[in-house]
Amino acid sequence: MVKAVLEDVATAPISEAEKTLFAFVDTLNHRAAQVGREDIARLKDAGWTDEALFDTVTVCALFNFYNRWIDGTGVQDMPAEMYQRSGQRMAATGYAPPPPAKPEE
Amino acid sequence: MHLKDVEDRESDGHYGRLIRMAREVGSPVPQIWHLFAYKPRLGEALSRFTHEVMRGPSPLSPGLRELIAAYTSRGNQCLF
Repeated sequence: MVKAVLEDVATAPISEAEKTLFAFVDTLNHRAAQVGREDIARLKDAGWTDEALFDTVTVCALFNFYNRWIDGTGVQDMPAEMYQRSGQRMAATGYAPPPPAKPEE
Repeated sequence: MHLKDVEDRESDGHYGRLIRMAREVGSPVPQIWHLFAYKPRLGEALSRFTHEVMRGPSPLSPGLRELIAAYTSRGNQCLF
């Protein structure tokens, strides 16, 4: 499902409301200055609340921060098994600093 | 990484400790840890902020928030 959304939102197995939300993320990401009241009205019609839209904008903005942080400092990609390990850690503890623990777990 | 000082600085914050522990047991250090470690006050505030954005109370499930994040990074051609 994740792969389908990343490859082509239009054909991904998600709801119409979610497709509308991802189209908005595209606009926000690439043409943020063009976001207008009519975009928000369309999203509200699709059932999204102000809080849901606030949270969507916040996540998109935060990851734009991270994308620039990573690319601007030249952080290198990690080997696949490290993604897996950090995925497991994040599933367990989220993003907050995890308690000091054995990193080999 | 382009910034040698950022990569090399010994930090006594949470991420500095994580980096030292990883090195002691010989596991590879994700380079992003150096960004969090360089200015511990900044890195730890950002880490808490990120957790709140991604896992805090929201009408959007954590899974949908992750998907929005991945979609954003993909749109920026960033692997992270």
